Formats: sequence, C-alpha cells, structure tokens
Amino acid sequence: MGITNFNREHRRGLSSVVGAVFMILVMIGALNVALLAIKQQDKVTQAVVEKSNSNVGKLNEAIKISEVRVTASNKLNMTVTNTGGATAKLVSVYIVNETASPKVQYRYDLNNIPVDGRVSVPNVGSNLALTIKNNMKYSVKVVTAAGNSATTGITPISQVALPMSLTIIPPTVVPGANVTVLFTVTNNLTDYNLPVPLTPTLSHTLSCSPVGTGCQFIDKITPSSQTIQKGSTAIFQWVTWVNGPDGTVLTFNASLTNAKPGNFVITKSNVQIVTQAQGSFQAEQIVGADLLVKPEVFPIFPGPFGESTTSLALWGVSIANPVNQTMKVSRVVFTLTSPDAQGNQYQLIFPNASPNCGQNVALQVLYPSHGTWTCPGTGIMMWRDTANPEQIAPYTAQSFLVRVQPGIVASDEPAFITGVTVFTSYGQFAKTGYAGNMRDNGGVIGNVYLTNTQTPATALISSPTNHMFGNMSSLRSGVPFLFNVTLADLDSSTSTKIKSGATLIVNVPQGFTNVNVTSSAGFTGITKKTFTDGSTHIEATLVSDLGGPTTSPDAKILSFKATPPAVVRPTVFLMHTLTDGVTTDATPFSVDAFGGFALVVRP
Amino acid sequence: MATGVIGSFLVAWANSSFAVQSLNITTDAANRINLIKESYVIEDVWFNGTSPNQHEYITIRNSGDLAIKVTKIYVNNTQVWSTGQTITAGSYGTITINQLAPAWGADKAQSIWVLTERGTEAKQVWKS
Repeated sequence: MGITNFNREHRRGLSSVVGAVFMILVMIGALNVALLAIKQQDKVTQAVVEKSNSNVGKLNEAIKISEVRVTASNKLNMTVTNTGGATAKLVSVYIVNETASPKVQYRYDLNNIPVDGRVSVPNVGSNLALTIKNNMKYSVKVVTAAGNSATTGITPISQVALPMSLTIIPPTVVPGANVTVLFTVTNNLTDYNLPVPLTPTLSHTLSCSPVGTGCQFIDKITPSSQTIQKGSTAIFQWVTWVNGPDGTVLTFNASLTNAKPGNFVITKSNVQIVTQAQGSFQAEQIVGADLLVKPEVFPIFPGPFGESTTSLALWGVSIANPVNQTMKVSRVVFTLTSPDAQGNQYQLIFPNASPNCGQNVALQVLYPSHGTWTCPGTGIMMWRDTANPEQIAPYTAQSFLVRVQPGIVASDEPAFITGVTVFTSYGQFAKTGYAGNMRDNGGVIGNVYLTNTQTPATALISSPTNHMFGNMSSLRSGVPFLFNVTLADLDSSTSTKIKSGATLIVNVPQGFTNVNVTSSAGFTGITKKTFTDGSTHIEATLVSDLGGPTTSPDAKILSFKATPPAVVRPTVFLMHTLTDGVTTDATPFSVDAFGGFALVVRP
Repeated sequence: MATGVIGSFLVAWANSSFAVQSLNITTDAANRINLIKESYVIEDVWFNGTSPNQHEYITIRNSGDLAIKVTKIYVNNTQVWSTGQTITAGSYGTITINQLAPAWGADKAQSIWVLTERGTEAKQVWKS
C-alpha cells in the first residue's frame, strides 16, 4: 500500500503534462493548417501578379495594319505595325467579303508571327491566296495571341472615286513640240486600302483631221503603275509629241484602269503657233502668223554690179506670204540711187525702152512670165501686172527674178543705195537700206543664187531653161533636201574675176538638221557651225579666181544636204547667202553679192 | 487514464479536422489560381445566313495557360447555347449556334456573353 501511495504521490500532475502534450500536438496541427493557408494564399497572390502582368502585356500591344495589298500572283501581303511596347504574336487573319450577299468570311492561321514592340513586320500572310474581285470590298482582321485585333479594308479601284487633277505643260502647245502631262491622284480613303498598283490611262484627241503627219500625237514617255497608300498622292507623267494646225484643240482624258465610272479628269489645251515677226534682214526664219498680215520681202542683189556691154546681172526679190490668204502682187520696183556732185543720178540701169532696160542688151525675164518689166526712170526697174497680179498661195513664197545689163557710172561707186518695193493686195511694202557697188570701167558681176544643178556651166544658164532660182518650194518635213548654192561671176570678160579667197557664207535656217556638205568643188576651207538657236553657218573659200581665164561667166557650186523641220502646214524659212571678197582688179573692188532665199517646207 | 483517452481523442479529431481544412484550403487556392489564370477572348463572331436559317459562329481563343470549358453563351442576354466545349490552352474553338430567337438583323449590334465552367466571363458587342 505504501508503494501505492508513493506511486500516487509521484503521479500527481502527470495528467497535466499529458494534457499539455496533447494540446501541443493539436496546436502543431493547427499551426500547420495555418501555414498551409498562408502558403496557398501566397500562391493565389502570385497567380494574381502573373495575371496582372499578362494583362499589362496585353494592354501594351497596339497593332495596326499599316499596309495591305494583293500581289500580282494573288497573294495577300500585309504590313503589321506594333506601336505598343509588348511583343504581339499574330495568330490568325480573317478576310470578309463585305459586298457579297450574304457576306463571306475566310479564316487563316498565322502561326504566332511575332511583332516586337515599335516594329513593323512586312509580308504578313504572303502565303495566303487572295483574289480580289473588281466589284467587291473586303475587310481584313488580324488577331494576336493575347486577343487583340486590328482591322482594315480592301477596296478595288472600281468601288471608289479618287480626287484627280491633270496639268498640261505648257498650257498651249507649239506644233511639233513635246507636251508634258501630269496626272495627280490622291488616295483619300480612310477605312480602305487600294490593294493593287494603280495603272493610269490617258486618252488624247485632236480637233484636226485627218489624223496623220500633220495631226497626231506620238507618245514618248508613259508612266508605270504605282501603289498609292492611304493619304498619299501619286503623280503620273506622260510626255507626248503633238502636231496640229494652229488653233487645234487638244483634249486629254486621264483616268485609272478599272476606275469607278465617272472617275476621270479632262483638260483641254490648244495648239498655238508662236508669232514671230520677221521683218528685218537679220531675221533667219519666217513663221507665218495670222495677225502678221504683211508680206516678207527679201532681196537678191548683185555685188558688184559690174559695168558691162554684153552681160546681165541677176536681180530679184523673194516675197513670202505669211498669212492664210492668197496674196496678190501687182508691182515690184527696184530703185538704185547714186547722185553725182550736182545731184544728177547715174544711170545705174539704163531707162531704155529698146533694148529694154539696157544700153546694149535687153532685160531678160526669169520670173514671172506674165506682166511687164520696164525701166521707167534712171535707176528704176519695175515689174507690173495690175490686170493679172501674181498670186502667192497662203504660207508660201515666190520670187521675182530678172537679169539686166549694168548701167554706166563716171567713177567707181563703192556703195550706192538700193531698195525694192512690192505692191500687194495687203498694201505696199519696201525693203531699203541695202547697198550695191559698181565699177566705172567694167568689172565683175557677182551674184549668189540657188540652182538645180551641180554643173557650173549649167548653173549659169537662165534662158531658155532657167537654172537660177530665188526660192525652193518642194521641201518636205523630215526629208533631206539637196541645196545647190551658186557663187557666180556673170560678166563675160575673162580679165575680170572674183579673187581666190573670197568667202561664200550660207546661213541654214534654224530647225534644219543633219546639215552636211556633199560637194564643194572649187572651194576649200569648208567650215560648219551650228549655233544654239539651231541655225547652221557654212563657210567656203574660193580655191582660185572665179571668172576666167578660159571661161567667163563662171560659177562654183556648193552643195549640201539638210533635213527640214517638222511643220504642220506650209511654212517659209529664209536662207541667207552672202559673199565676202574682192576682185582681181589692181585696185581691188568689194565682192558683196547677197540674197535672201525663201524655203517653203510642207508637211 | 482519462486524460490520455480524452487527449488521444482530441488529437485524433484535430488531425482529422485539420486534414479536411488543409484539403479545403488547397482546393480553394487551386480553384482560385485556375480562375485567375483562365484567359480567353472572343476572337470573332460571324453572323451568317438568313432567317430562318441563321447561324452564328463564335470563335473563342484561349489565351491562357489552362484549358477552358465554355459552358454557356448568351446572345442579347438570352441563353442560346449550353452544350459545353473545351478549348485547350493556346488554341481556339468555334462554336456554332443555330437560329436565334428573335432573329438578328443585318448591321445590328449583338451582345455576346460567354461563360466558362470556372465562372469567368467575356461580354462583347459585335455587329451582325
């Protein structure tokens, strides 16, 4: 029993310990549960953070379709731009035919194409076949893996009208000149893209007819197709050569291939000839103009007008009609004035009636064959036909040519005054301010003129078949023409000559191209210069004295070819021919024959 | 003796209770995490056909890390579908709905409301 009591005494408080142990165990379990709850809460918090980050990334995507087009091989081609900061992954594209009824939708996977922040990725969807119909509009949507999307539209040009303008440069066109046509097209669409390059079209018409050499366009530069982005403007340029009569209306109609009906622009222009009054000797080209109602007069004078008993000098005048009406010439008067100390006129041309206009030989008529040549006063030589005036067709020219015996002077006349006056249906017009010269004891008769032969002996003949001409009227645009320019000593004395070294000068009018000397027998030192205005200057120097000793008269012919310019109607050009030299006299006398020769170029 | 018995019972009951609580905590946490991680978008809604043969094609992209199960779809606040369709992570699924009542008209705004099994929802307006 003692032992029992002892044990009881020693076991006092054990239950408390046991209870405490159980409590500790329970508390440990509770603590574990609490820790687990905290840990799970932490996981939830972590998940929230990750979701927030994901949402931020999604919000940082900002994609747009900056360009969409369809290639020539009917493949979609997009450029997708991500203006956000997070990488977007393109996963799908939707294409909807918005015009079809019902609408038709196509969906394609894009296989997570990455588009980094602030980067554009081209050629998206370039493996997707897409054929755009001309009468259908489409919408295109790309979707990212995060669920963001961007949408744009595609429209064929046939469904929209674009602002257009057409500019013609220059506003009025000179015949035979190039015209620049600028066609401006603006893509002002906001919701739709034009998927294919735009091909400009230009039709042009002329009000003249028939269409041909003198009435036509020749396109020289045509533009190529261009893709026009939204908000952009494209300029297409044509260069076309145009030819047409004065006043021809040019109509340009520009549009786009497959454009919406009514979407075009029309601009008109005019062909207008540049008016250029050519009233002076220095003028090198005549261009007819409706407002210039007066003839152009160009003399052909000898120099020197050598005194002779048997020979005849060539006098003439080329008259150009620059208007579109027939001009009638009823009278032509040459006036040679040389007074002596007492005011008496030298008889530069004899006022004889028989032989007509000559002391020894009569005047010889070259052209025209009708009318009457007389010398009604000292130094006056006149052609007249008031009943049947010479008619000069519109925009052409005619020459009045005559050969006459030189008169008599008491002393050398280095420079007497000459002039020519023409009386026409438009009034009278004179050309003065020229000079002639004459020796008192016979001498050279220097002349320059056009001929139709390359044989010098033939070129000296004016009757019965005339080979001396003051104009050429058979030139055609673009067709090379052979010119034979003659420098002649027409007097019959073998002792009077034009000295070697004399220069023949030919001014080929501007616009004539491919000027090439083909024959220059008797000349040397041939030079050819083309000036910036397009005219060509030919010089040739006599190799030996002209006018003897075995043959006199004598001539040398300079032949050259030149291609006349393009014209739209008969147009008169002027070719000046001059000489610069001296005679072989002991006291050299100037050789200064000159002539203005009209060249009528036809289309 | 009594203390031992009572204590043993208490400990046994406590462990059992704690185990249940731990399981609940773990399950709740997992559900919440899954709910949080669930992410999807209505990628496209395509209205097609004419009444009475109208169809709606609702394409849902699962942009999250877990598979989702779409359980209900409402159009203009009317439940039109409840078949249920699972969409794996990173993929998409298109759910076809036949004939809404009332019929939708062209170029009208239609409210699309998608619910998943976990309880997330997406509501957007699409033009028919």
